[in-house]
Amino acid sequence: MAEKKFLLGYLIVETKDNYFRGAALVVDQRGIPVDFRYTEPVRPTKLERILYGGALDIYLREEVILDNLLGAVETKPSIWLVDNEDLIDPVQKISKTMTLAIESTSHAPLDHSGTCEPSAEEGGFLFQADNISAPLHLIVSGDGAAKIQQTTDMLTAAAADMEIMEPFGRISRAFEAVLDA
Amino acid sequence: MRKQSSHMASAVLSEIKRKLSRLFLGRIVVRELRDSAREPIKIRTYFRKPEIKQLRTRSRVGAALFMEWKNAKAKSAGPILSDSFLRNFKVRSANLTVPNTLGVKSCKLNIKARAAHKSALKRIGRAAISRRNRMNFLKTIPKFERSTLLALYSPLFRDRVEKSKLDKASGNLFFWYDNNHDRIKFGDRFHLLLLRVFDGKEPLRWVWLPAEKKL
Repeated sequence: MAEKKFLLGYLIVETKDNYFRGAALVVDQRGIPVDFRYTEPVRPTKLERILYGGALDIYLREEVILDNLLGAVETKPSIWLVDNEDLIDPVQKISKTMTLAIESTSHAPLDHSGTCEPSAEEGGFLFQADNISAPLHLIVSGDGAAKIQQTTDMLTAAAADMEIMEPFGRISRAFEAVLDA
Repeated sequence: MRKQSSHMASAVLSEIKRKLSRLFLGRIVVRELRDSAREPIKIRTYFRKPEIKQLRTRSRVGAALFMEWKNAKAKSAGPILSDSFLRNFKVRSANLTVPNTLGVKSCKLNIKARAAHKSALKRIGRAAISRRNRMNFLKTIPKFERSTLLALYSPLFRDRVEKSKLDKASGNLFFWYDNNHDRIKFGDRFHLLLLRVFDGKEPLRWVWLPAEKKL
């Protein structure tokens, strides 16, 4: 039976030294990049900080960076993975694609790979991607919980060929390389 | 008999009455009760009147010694202006015009344009892929002859690995896949093990183990 192919999308938006920047990496199930977009670091001016006030962070993150990146990505992934749960709703809204936040844990491994159990946090799940790692913490919102089985099946298949969290580190290293250039 | 005794008793009583009245009427002193004989009544109240004292002494304007306008003609109670000053005083008109158009400066809020996206697929394609040491998650540590397991990295497509490098500080393995997708197939998945070898020329040894094989 032919393996069902899918793509995983990784999105980060970070703030460093008052600069805002974001990147979107789409990989195949082996972790090979098929699309990568990033934004130039943006530093709001003093006037912009005053005019936008408390809404500046949200505006920059959602209206400027996410909107820009998600519109630019040509190869659409099957799911978007983010490292910050605040990004779930805006990414899901803009991309119309299932989005979940994912983070490493130091929990003891669950019974076997593919196991997914609800965590204490609302919309949270502990997920054992493979047999030789700690479980990952997944956070979904909206109707994401109803699709969690389908999502974890995809992630279990991907974990056989790659480390699920690894692309986040690659994006960070790519940011540093871009800044150095 | 009874009538005679009652007449005698009444006569005696009236005689006694007459004599007593003569005695007391002459000796009883009758005095008037008048207010003037008493001390005047003093009415004392607890009503208090506030005593007002000024904090500041009342200032009085003395003579303005710094201004001695001798022989100055005082025409009015206002400022004193001499005739010559008044004659030479010229009033000029000033045109106050408001410009019809006010300059309005615009400030471009081009924050969205400054966050333009860029594509860098080739750059990220050249970036190394990393793997963490997963040895701690093995349920049983496999045993090797005259060797001990130091690290386990998984999964890797051995046939596609072009080069690799171990970061001793973090213990992570960094490697690069060959980007020529058409020429080389991915092949099977492997675990990559790092062993410490005892009694050998090389202290460290790398071992590829098919991922399908249980550890």
